[in-house]
Parts: sequence; C-alpha cells; structure tokens
Amino acid sequence: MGVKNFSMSLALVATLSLEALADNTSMYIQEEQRAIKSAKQYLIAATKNTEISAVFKELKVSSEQFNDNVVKFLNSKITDFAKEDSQKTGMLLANLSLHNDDKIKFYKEIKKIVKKNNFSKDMKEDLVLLEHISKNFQKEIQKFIDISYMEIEAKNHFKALKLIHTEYQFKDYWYSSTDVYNESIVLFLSLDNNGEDIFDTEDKLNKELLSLQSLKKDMTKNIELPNVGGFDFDKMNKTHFTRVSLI
Amino acid sequence: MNPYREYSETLTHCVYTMMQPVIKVEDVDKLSLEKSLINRLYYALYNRIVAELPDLQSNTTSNKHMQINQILLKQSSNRSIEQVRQVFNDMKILREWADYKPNESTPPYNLNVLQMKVYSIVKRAKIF
Repeated sequence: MGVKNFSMSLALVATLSLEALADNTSMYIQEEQRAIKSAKQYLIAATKNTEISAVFKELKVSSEQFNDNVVKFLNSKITDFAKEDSQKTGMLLANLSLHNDDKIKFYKEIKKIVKKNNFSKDMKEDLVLLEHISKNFQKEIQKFIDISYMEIEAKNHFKALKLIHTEYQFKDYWYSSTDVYNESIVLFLSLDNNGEDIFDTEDKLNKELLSLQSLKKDMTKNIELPNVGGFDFDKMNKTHFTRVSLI
Repeated sequence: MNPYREYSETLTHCVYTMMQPVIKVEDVDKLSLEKSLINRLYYALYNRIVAELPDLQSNTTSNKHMQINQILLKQSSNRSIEQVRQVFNDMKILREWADYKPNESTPPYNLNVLQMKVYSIVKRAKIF
C-alpha cells in the first residue's frame, strides 16, 4: 500500500473504533518500516541521493498525515479507548512508541552519514523536520501513556467504591484528561440520588478515596518499571485523584 | 440588591426554568442545550462569588477565575468556603468541557445534581 492509499484509509479513522485505529496504525508502521528499510539499503549500496530523498519525502508525508489523522484523534479519544480496553490501548501505545523510537534512532544514523555525504539542502531540511516530528510525537505518546495510567486508577477506584458503598447506585465516572499533569485531579462520579445530602455523600466517598490512595501507594511503592527508549512509566506509581465530586 | 448577585440568581433561575419539561426544546440539540446550561450554571456561581468581592467587580483584567480561586484558597480552612471553592473549580472543568472540547467524551453529569450544588451556594446569605 502506498502512502496515498494509506492516507485515505487514515482519513476514515476519525469515525472508527479502537480496533480500527489499531489496524490502521499497524499499516502506518509497516509502511514506514518498509520506507526506512529501503533507505538503509540505498545507503549501504551508496545509491544516488535522489532515492534517499524520495524516502524522506514519503516519511514526511506519512508523518504529517499520521499526526493529523491519528495523533489528534488519539488526543481526544485516549480516555475512551483506555476505558474500553486498557490492554489493547497499551499494546497500541507500545507499538507506536517502539516504532517511533526506531525512527529517532534511524534519523540519528542518517545524521552521521549526512556529515560525510553530499546531501542536498532540501534533504537536510527534511531530515531536521522528520526528527522534529518524531520528537514531538514522543512527547505525545508519553502523555497518552500517562493518561492511560490515570484511567486505570480511575477505573479501579470506581470499582472499589462500588464494592464498598453498596448503598449507592453508581453509574459512571469521568475526569478531565487535560488535568493529567495537575497536582490535584478530581474524580467525577455520577450516581442515582438516594435522597442523602450531596455534600454528605461526597464527604463519605472522599474518606474512602483517601484509603484507596494510600492502598495504591503501598501496593506500588516497590514496583519500578525501567524507562524504555525515551519513555518513562512513573505515573504507574502516582496517585492522581485527590477528591471525588458528584455530578 | 447587588447586581452581580441578582444576575447570579437570574441565571440559576433561568437554568431551572429551562430544565422544566413544559419547555419544548425538540428543535434544540439536547447536548448543546445541556452545555449551555452548564455554562450558565458556572457563571451563576461566578457572579454569586464576585458579588461579595468588590475589588474584582471593578477589575477588568482577565483570569478572574484564578483570582477567585486564590481568594477562596486563602480561607480554605473554613469548611463552608472550601466547599464553594471545590464546586467553583468543578464547574469550571465542566464549563471548559462544554465550551471548548467538542471531541471529548461527555461527562456522566446529572443536571439536577449540578443545579442543586450551584443553587445551594447561590442562595447562601453569605459566602465569606
């Protein structure tokens, strides 16, 4: 599949599910891996720069379209996807991060060759842009990883509160994913009104939340996940939610 | 009556009225209407608090939300004021969702709960 066809399929992604997004992302990764492999072969064979330049252009178009169609989409849907299936979302993010890591390594290798070879100005500019896109994307993936950990915590707290407070009919939970780097994040809960004063119910649930947070701290304090590539998993041990609010 | 406080009460009353089943709103998109109500509830609360902060009434600078939060935070040891601060900040998060985040998932709110929370503060004789 060429970049053109690939971009058409990506255009459909905006209306599709996590599965469809994962499938399209795999296609994107395969396409770029093929392009990178070609570029490496051209370099080994000391082929003309025009062929390497064509690969750069292909990667540039692919990266820009991917940013428009997948990254922006993930930005608005990451909490939904993580809520729907955190394992699949984790796999998707792992595939994306490993591939992006490979691209960054590839650009570093190319930079060394650029110094020796007579690359055109356009090619050098393309390389700078490609590296820039990948580094930005690395930050975005890190944010998606962090939000996924926040979602796991929200889901676990919600389940625990439901089990402990059977006197309430819990419906759903929500939080603002843009708050992921805030010190204090609110876990919004909806439940059927049982006639109790809302603020009294909040007080009871907040006491429970504090216990749950302390439990999480105890459970995760000895777990240390090593950084992989440019990514860290520090949010796994963090306790995100400082209070609940009924909405 | 303080015009800010009056406006605050008008807004909450307006939201309450619009939530009544006698209002036929078939032609209005339900989500858009609910987002408008959330926005109005936030401003009902905002104006109720500003009603007791004369310095902010004449202040034309932006980011008054942050200033209000700071003022409330300074007195957060008072349980009643901390409650106001929390509801105010929660409504801001919901208002931002309603006004600026059309692609994000819809929070599982119940407008009656939000209206009750805001109104419980708006009707207070005194906040500070």
